[in-house]
Amino acid sequence: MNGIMLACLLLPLLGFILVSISPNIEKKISTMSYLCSHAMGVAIISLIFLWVSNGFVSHEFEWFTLYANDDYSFPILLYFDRVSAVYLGCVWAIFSIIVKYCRYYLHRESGYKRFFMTIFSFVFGLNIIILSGSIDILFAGWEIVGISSFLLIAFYRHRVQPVRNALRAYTVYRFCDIGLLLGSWMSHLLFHESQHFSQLGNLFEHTSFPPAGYGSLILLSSLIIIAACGKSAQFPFCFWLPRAMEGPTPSSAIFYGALSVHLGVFLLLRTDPIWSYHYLTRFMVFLMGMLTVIIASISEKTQSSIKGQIAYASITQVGLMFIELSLGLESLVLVHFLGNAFLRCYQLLVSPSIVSHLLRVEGSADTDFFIKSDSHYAFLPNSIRNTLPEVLQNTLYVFSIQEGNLELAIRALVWEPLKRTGLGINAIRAWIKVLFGLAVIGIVLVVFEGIGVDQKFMAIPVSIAMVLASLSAFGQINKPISVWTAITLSSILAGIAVLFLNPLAKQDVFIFLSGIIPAWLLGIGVLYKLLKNQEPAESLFSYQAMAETQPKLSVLLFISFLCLVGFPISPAFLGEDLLLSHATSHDPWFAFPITIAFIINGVAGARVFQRLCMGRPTELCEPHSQLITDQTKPVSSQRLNKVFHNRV
Amino acid sequence: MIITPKHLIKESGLHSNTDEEPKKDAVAHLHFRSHSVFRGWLYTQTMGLGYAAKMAWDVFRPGSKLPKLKMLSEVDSNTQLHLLRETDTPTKDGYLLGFSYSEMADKVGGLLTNIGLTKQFATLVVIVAHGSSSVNNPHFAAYDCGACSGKPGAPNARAFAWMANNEEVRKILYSRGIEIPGGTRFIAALHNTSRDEITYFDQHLWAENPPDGLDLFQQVMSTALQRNARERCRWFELAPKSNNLNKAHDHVTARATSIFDPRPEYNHSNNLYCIVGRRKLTRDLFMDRRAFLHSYDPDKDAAGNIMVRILSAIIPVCGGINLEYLFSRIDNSVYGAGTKLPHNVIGLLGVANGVEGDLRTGLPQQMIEVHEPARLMIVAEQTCAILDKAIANIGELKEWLDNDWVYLVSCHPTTREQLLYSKDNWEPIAFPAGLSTPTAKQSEDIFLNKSLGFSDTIPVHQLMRNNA
Repeated sequence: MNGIMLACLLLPLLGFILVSISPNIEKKISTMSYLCSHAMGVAIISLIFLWVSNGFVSHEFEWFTLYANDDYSFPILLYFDRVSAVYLGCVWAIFSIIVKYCRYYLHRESGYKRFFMTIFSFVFGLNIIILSGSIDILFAGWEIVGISSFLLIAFYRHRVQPVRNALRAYTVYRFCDIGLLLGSWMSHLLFHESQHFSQLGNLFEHTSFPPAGYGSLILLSSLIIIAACGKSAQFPFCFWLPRAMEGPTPSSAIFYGALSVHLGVFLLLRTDPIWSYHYLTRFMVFLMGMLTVIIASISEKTQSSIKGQIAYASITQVGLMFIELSLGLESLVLVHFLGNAFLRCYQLLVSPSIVSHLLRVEGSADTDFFIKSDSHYAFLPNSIRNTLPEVLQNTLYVFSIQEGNLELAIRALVWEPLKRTGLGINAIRAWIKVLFGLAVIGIVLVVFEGIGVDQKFMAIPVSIAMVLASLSAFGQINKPISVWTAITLSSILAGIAVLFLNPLAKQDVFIFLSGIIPAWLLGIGVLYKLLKNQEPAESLFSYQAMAETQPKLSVLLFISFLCLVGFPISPAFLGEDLLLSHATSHDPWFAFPITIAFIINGVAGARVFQRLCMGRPTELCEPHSQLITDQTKPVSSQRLNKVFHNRV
Repeated sequence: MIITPKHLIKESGLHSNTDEEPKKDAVAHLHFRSHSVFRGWLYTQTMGLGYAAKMAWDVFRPGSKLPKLKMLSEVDSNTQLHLLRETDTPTKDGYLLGFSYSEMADKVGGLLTNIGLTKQFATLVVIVAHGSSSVNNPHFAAYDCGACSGKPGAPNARAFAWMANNEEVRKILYSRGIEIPGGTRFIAALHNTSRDEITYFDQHLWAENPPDGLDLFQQVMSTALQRNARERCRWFELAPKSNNLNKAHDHVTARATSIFDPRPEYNHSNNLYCIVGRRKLTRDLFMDRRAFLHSYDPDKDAAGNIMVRILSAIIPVCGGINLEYLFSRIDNSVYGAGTKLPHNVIGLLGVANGVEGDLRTGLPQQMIEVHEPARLMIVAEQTCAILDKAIANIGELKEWLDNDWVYLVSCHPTTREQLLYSKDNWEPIAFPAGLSTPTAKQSEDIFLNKSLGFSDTIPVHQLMRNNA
């Protein structure tokens, strides 16, 4: 069973690698994706079969321990139970259908290879999440899904709108990662060794009092709920899902119709013992679901486009799942999940058919055919039906057209202040900043030495500087290189702060920085090469389409970006986790600034990549076109020649 | 806007006076209102799982293998059109309900004169409309008849055939000099251009007494359609390359019925010529499906009046189609609609990219990718003098010619001398020395040539028939 679990996990990765090293020939990619998707299907089916024949027993598997250091260990834990079985079965069904569909549908589309690479990495991330045995592993999959979402929304990178929406979705994902990152740290803190999903249930069952204080449990639950809300586009993050429908229709179907949108539900199912312990957190889940259902169901009715309608319908159903979850109806949620995933996936796939559907309605319509809009309320007496104040009606209408203004609210509350601060920091001259920093350090040192305060309070100014550096990266709009440097600076400061807090954590800091520093160097080198031919005026932060003009360097930049923001391919991912868990076991406050800094760094880096590498390249005119004739001939024969060329 | 409609034609089922409960229309099952939250929840919970099977079925088993599904353009032919006007009072929307006999005669006579069919009628005249069926296509309407508001032209063909068969109409036409012999029958049909199938309409009108030659016509037509499918397959990269007619036809049918095929057909891609003249002019030519053909008899049009009518139709229609393809191909992301894969349908208004994108204009990449952008060349078999008279009467459409949006060539009916229209004069066309038309035995020899790239265009060939 362990082997099969690994196969389920690694086959999509194999698919990704095979597609990425294959030449850009449609037929080969198509064959490879066909083989890999079916191999994965076989693995999944046999896994589920085995699980059933074993009598539905949950199964945990510890592959190996990636890293261990006295009380900390990072095992690669896999876990398979009822929830995983349902999700994995759904992934198999939908993924194999979509692969079959896309192999044909994307025929002759530029980016055929890119598309298959992205969906394989998406499924890889998805399988990690589904089979994960602890929050840490789940977080790794979560990041992979986030990045592949970003790439798939921006699949048509020539147009600004998909690229912009991709970043928007990514920022929401990233913001909600706060929840998961802090959540994984807290679960380390609260449950120590027992953060296995398999043991969560027991932990809460056999004790009459909770394994941790109510306060921290509620905090942990809220963090998890935030993460779930972001991924599942629940209140107040409903807005990103419809806007993510920018890729080819089947990719929207698999991501936002079927699988990605239900990951929040999955997270809640997994961490069910934690948040369902207390009524207050249960009520929070209920409330989120309820608010989402209200907003999404009325927004759906005013969506003018079919994909918008399906997106909101899907959000509404996920909201209902949240409600069901809060009422403890897990089996119902699983059925609901399957139903919603298949239904929305199908609806999105055939969404273009709405044209023939509407034409058919129109074609069969008699001349006196009207859709009676108020027949719904026919049971009400006339007097009431017509007195629903028009003002109220219009208000609701405007409210639903604006989708509750959630997007503006989030922007105004979260991103704008951050950006303004960042801009403010960047407006200050460099030497003032350096002087100021030195002065603060000096004063603090003097004061601390004088009074004899513990060294670890030095971490406070350092962590403030770290957040400021991140903000500066976020606010930087002109110089990509300084964004990279500011991100690195912020990470280094994080390392220093940890050293102040816990001088024994040298090795952890080293692991963390061993991911960051090479990434930074690589990034600086690539950026320097990319930008060297540019006029200073041109290097303004505009879409420069380097993914097409400089494909190799762009890939390097992307890798550098991934490592810099702690993507699970770099040691920085482990380091991030280590810093959080190790350094903060005694100083919980530090978790907050460091998480903020990580999140902002991610968004800032993604933005640089997006601006530089996406967009439309300047088109070059072909010098010799068939239709242009030489200039020596007289005008009329030139024209004739033109006509003649038309003929042959 | 070329034509503002004045008449309304109603269609009804053939057996309207049955006593039993009227059979519910297919539309009665569809619902228009959005679900309430509760109903949505209920449906998702209960029926959602069923969609897994449906989706898998649709994707792994494309429609061609299913029993034939009824598509929109495959119009039900057991209805009847109420064409004859019984009262002159207009409906409340201002339409006249049906045509009077003399109006019908105008319509029929007009068309017959335009195409030069005013004598020597065959016993069977088939009026073939065109439509296209495709599934899961956001540009569904763009594949149908543009002159019929993006619908299949079947009702027009049926109306025309009914009118032309009507005795009263024929009497009026006789008085106007068009004698349709009593043995001549008009039959309406619809050519499904994506599936390459033909449907014959109003069988109840001729089932008991089938017109002479209909059997033969149907046989010839079905072979022609298969060969047409074979020729169209040349443009599809994934189509079978062999010369097997059945395979080719199966392939185009599968394209039209699978939900994951963005290219049911290439429509008018590569359109280049519009040839107005007697069909003798184009006989035995292989034109690579690039020409609009309009029949016209130059001998019966000394005043150029017919030519005026023809030009006023083909310049906006064929010229419009041509420019649509031309510009969509030249800059597909600005004048065209870009790739159709991410398109999001907005009512019956149009498509946009994503949820908050702008409406897109023009044609999607999947319709124009094999199009070779070139302006339309109209070849009219008529003298320059008569053409000049006609051009003077086409009003604003003259700008299309003067400004080279379309080219017009006059081909002299007897001498075959060709002159190119320009704003000031007719310019002689000098063909390069040594230009000769390539020849071939049959069209399959030309387009099955292995050295031909799949998006290469083919010059006009002269077909040398054995029996010619």
